[in-house]
Amino acid sequence: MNKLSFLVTVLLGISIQLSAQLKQDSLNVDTAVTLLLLPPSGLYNYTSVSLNNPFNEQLRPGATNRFLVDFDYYANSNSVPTSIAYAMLFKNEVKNEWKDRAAKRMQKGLKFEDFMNTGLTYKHYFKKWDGTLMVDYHHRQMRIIRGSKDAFELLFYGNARFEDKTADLSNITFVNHIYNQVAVAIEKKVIYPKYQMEYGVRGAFLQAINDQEIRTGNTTIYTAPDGEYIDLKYDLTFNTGREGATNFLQVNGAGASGDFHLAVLNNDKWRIAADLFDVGYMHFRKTPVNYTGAKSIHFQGIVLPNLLNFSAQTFDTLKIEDTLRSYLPGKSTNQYGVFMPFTAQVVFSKPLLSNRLVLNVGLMYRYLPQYYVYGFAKINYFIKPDMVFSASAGAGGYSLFNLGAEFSKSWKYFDFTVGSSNLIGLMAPTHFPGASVYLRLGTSF
Amino acid sequence: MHSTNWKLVSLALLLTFMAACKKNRQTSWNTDVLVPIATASLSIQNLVKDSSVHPQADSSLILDFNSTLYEFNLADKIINIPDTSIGQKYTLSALALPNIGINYKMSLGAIANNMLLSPDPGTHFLGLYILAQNGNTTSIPALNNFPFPGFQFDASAYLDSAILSQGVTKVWAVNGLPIPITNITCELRNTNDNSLIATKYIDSVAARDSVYFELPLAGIKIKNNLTFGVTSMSTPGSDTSMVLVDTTNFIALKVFVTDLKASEAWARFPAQNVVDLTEEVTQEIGDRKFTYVDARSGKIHIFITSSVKESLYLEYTLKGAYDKFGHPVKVFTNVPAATIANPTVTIDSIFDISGTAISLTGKDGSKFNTYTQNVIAHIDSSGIVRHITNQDSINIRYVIEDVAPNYIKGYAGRDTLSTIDSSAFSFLDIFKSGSIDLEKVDMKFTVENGIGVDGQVKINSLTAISPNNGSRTLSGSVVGQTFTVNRATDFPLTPATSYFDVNSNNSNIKDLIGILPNKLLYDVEVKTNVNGNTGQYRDFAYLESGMKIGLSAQIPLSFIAHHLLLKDTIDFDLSNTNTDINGISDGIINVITQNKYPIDANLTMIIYDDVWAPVDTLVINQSIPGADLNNNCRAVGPKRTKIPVYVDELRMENVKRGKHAVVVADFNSSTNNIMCNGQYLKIYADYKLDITFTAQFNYKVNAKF
Repeated sequence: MNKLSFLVTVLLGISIQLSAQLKQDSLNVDTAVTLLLLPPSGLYNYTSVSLNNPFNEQLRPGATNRFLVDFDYYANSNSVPTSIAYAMLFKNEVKNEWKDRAAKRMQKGLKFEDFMNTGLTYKHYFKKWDGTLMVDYHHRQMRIIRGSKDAFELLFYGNARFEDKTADLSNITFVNHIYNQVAVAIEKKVIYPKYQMEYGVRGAFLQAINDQEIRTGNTTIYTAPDGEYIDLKYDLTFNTGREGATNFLQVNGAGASGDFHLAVLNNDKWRIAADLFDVGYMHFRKTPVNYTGAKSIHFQGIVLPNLLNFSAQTFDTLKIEDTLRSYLPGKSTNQYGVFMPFTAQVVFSKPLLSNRLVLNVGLMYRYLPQYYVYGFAKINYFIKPDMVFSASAGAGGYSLFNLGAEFSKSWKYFDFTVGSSNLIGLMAPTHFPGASVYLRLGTSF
Repeated sequence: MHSTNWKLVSLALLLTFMAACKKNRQTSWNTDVLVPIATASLSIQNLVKDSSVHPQADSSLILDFNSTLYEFNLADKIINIPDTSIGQKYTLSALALPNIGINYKMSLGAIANNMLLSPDPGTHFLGLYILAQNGNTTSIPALNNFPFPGFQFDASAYLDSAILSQGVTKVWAVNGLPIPITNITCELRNTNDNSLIATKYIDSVAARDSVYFELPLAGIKIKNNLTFGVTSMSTPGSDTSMVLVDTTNFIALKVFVTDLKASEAWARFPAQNVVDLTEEVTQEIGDRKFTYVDARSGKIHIFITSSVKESLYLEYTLKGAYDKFGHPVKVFTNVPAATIANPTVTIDSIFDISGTAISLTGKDGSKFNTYTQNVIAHIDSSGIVRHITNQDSINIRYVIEDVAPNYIKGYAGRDTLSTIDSSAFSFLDIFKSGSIDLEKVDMKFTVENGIGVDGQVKINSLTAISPNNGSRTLSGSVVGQTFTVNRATDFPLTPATSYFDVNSNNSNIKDLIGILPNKLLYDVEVKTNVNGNTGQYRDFAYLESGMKIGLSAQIPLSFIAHHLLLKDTIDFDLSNTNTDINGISDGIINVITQNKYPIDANLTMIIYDDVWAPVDTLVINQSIPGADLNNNCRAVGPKRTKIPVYVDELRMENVKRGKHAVVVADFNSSTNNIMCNGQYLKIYADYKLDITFTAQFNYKVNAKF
């Protein structure tokens, strides 16, 4: 929550400064110039259901520099109401009815992902080369949780409902990546006689701040009648690169990632864009901690450690008889690496109604366990040339069904976009899963 | 800044503040947790501490018990070596001076030449005559008072002067002349002042003959230069006899001043022992007669005061004593010379004689308790003139003290040791109260004698004290009976153990044990060497060895219980569930028992905090039925009982403070079992009362993300 409020504060502060500067500049201009973001330059600026594509944003005609501040957060789940995610984000109580709805909706298991990306981007357009150079810094967080329904119930209801039953905790995945990204990208538009093409590539250095990964294999918990004993059979791997991160700038781990963009368009007739984001790898080298083990324990005096409070000290501080300690997962400090969950997206855009309407349909895939291809459609309606309202609908991924909306407004030097790809979860968080909000403030000059 | 901007900045700050306020909050939700929180197992094997339980062939339990009632240690009772000392004041009455000797010869020719110097014409003539007749046979005429020069002793290398308490000048005069010499007068004088020391008159010495005489010197002061002379000497000549005149013939004097002992002297004293004394010291140690002691520790404490103005070297030898390396025990001490400024020198030194083996049989090996000690005080020749008188003294005192024997040998004497005391009795303390009717009790008094002494033991009385059931006094033939105890054997030490049965036939021991005593009062009498020195001084004792009187028993655990309490203390801490106990609200604590004892029990459980203050009585006198019995009166399997206890939030706050729990099971043999009613029931190895505490409670999870 602190990080979130900090970012909001930063964004607001920057926007205040920018708007003040722009107002000052506008006073010095004798003649007001109407910004025309209409086709072809701004026609395809709103094709995604989020801000996650740095290449889908064209500079206004005449501008050679652009500075952006953006914030993008979304959470998707097949079952967990957004209010539970909010409770976790904003440190509130998870109410029983929310858990009940999640459990009722959960058929095969729990899926949850959330994603946050916020930062600063500078773009410079090289007229001679007809290409754009981008430099950006972004702070990024992503959490991925997948587990069985038993795991959800054990965690949120306790083990009493599993009396004389075995709870299956197999194939749990918990991933938490927090890192900074410093990137350089180029984008080039090539005009052919019948169509145009956009090429973009972005390379980034990743500064890992925090990382936890928990994965289980064949893992079960049996609670004996009246709780006389608890039998745990586990196959667990836990890696963390958090230990030793004493400050924000410390490089606990490092990595690299790349983004790739290719679009083909025929001016304002159609456009198809394919993007591949976050193809990368991070390596954790400073004081990593690993736990691995596949054993069975017969407990007569403890409950399982809380997976949500899992840390490198969890097993060390566990109150357990010494005779059982050897049955805990073995601790090591081996360096380890993780492949980033990349995202692939294809979007087809078709302007309609004399370019007042742009229809976008797309498919998105994230490299996550049991992730279904996310399909979406988005309609951009240009109320005025400098004012766009968008509505979107999507399904797949870790979510059920999402409805989204977006609004953009541009002035001569300043523009902003605010939107959500999941309004249902945002508006009725206690009943529906998923949430999304994004905000972009930009200036072109 | 524009006012709109101020509003936005304020909004941003507000958001930041709101987020900061949530810093310590955590995401939470309610769960229903069912967990085991503690276990206890009340089995005989688990609860027995001092005793040991063994399964028999049929896996029924038998209780082994060994307890020491009374024990006395050798060092306390028998071996007690008192300190002993030898001390004496030694004066230098026997202070010796060096001997002085000289040989003197005078030939006939020299005598004749001396005659020539005489103014007496007759003497002069005779001198000429003798010289002239050399080699001839002739008669020599008589001559009176012919001269014979004296000679000197130079003793300055040894002394300046001395007043002698003893001494003699030994003179051997040899007449090598062919004529006798007569009327001889000898004198010994101090050369410096010509004072006469001694004189001697001799009638005659025949030709070719000799004479020996002594000049006593006691009470005489001598100086460093003495002159011995012959003041007169005559000869009757050869009369008419013809004798061969040979001028090489001589008169010889051998003078030896010896046996000089001074009462006072200014002398360079030669190296000598001024004290050399061997003495015996016999200790009286009651009627004990020890011949040998091996000292685990001990000291020789030396006190010396000396007024002797010469350095002394003292050697103390404890005769017949050898250290652990086999070396004789000798103590050497240097005593500096006394001076005018420091007329008395004092030495106070302690020497460790730990590990020393000491014979106590005296000089001739026939005595007892007798140390033999030799003291030698020695002075070395320093070459310096010292003034020493016979009033100078050395006061020497040697103390053998704090001797703690490792081992003694001899005759240990006769002792009667009566003890009235009490002893904790932990047997069956697994049962905290109630009483027990045991099927069979066979006990033994055990006397383990680690001393090489014959003995006798008598139990005058034995009373069992129970905290709950009063007392019982042992009765029967075993009381007051004298038991003979054999002596231990040595090399290696092997204690002799004697057993005396105490059972239902010769006592009421079952009654004593049945009240579950925790203390025994006893009156025990031990006698040693009742028949005197039958061991012929072969008694021995080690420091560690003693005599132990104990009780041992092997009691089959087959009994009828009357409110027999088993009690155990367990850790009872909800935080052991690895939950944040602050998240626990209310719930049910289940007390689940698995009773395999064929005995009904009432269960009570009290929870205590970290300072052992009770915080909750979770269960009180909850009935737990005993296991069912088969035809052989053996439990067929555990009987499970579940006692759910609802704990509301208020009570849970107390339970959360719990750190320990005391579990008490009150066992009463069943009276409604037709098959085994009234029978003694054996306790088998698999019998136990397992108690598991589980909790099903509402738990608020507080999670950090």
